[in-house]
Amino acid sequence: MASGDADAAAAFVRRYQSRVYGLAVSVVGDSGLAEEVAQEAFVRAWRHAATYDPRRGRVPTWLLTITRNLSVDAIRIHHRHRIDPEPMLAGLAADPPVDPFGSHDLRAGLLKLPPEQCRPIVLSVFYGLTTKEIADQEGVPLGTVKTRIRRGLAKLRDALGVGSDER
Amino acid sequence: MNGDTADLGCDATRELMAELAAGVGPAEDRAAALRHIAGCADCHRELESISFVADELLSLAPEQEPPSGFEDRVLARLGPRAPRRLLWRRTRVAVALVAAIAVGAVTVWQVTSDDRRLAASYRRTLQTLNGRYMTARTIAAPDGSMAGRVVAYQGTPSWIFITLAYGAGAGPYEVRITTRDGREERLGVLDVQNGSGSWGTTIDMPVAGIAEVRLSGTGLPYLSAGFGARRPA
Repeated sequence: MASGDADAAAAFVRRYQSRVYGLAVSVVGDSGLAEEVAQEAFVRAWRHAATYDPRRGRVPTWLLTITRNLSVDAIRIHHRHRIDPEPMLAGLAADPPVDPFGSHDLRAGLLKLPPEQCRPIVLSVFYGLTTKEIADQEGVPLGTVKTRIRRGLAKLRDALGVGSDER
Repeated sequence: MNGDTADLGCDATRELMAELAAGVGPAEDRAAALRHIAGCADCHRELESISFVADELLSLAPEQEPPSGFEDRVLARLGPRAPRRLLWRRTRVAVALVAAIAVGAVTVWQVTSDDRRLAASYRRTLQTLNGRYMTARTIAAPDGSMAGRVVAYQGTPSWIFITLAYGAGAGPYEVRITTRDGREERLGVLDVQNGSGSWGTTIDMPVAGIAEVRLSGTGLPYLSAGFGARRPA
């Protein structure tokens, strides 16, 4: 690797490694598997940088989305279909010492949600469970799960001040 | 859920928004929903906002330092393939550029006198401003139309100036810059009345380091201007 590219790659990895690894280990729950996921996330992001569309979000958001998708693939490959979202919820509730991306409003909004809305949102967004899988796991009718997720996300959207035309 | 081309409708599509945002769920359901969304502006906006929330949630995951040596292991995986492709790409670009210059130089000199006068004027302007260069980008609205322009000037100091003329909204826009190395910086507030407004500020970063200028405000359409490919490309 040319020295300039190597410097840029090193800076890229150093800047985001704790966020990428933190998300991976939170989802897959295993340090070795999380490192595999995190490594692959950086490799894919670096090699497919041209596909990044700034209109779709910030670089860390894009990188974390790649990490989430890889983490979901990993837990499916390892047949971890029954997920306990509580450790993740506890991690999400903790305010970080610094908040460089202004996540306070979203975190506060998430914590205000009733558990029956918060749990399926976490299971869907972080663990990639379908609404059918969530309904089966939580023992709740499919329609109820869909309604809870939709209402919960609408509240979070309000917390972020994102526009809505919800009818 | 049907697998044919019948329209799913707004209500059924919105039932699937969370799964669409997370990229999960049966492929045929997602395909049917996306077919509807392609022709429904309201559902398109709904999916954009739900996807934004879902993506932002990921940033709440607690940070954790990876095991020792992680950075080296990632860099080792990135190493062998990048330079050859990059070198070859740069070589091809350079060869094409030289060939184009050689073939077109005489013709260009003859037919571009107006351009050269314009370039001379541009250079004099930059000299007067003690600046290095100036560039402009269009600002895209959610529907893909042009909502305005942003002019960025590299000099001492560097600055940007934004003009908007889109829709009929009123209120403050938060103006933010995303840099090519992923940092985000809030620059200030642009007030719009009847969809129009203009605003500028000095910036303490090189114009070449800007990846995107973004404007967002409650009840106002999200607007953005891309400044070209990110580093690394």
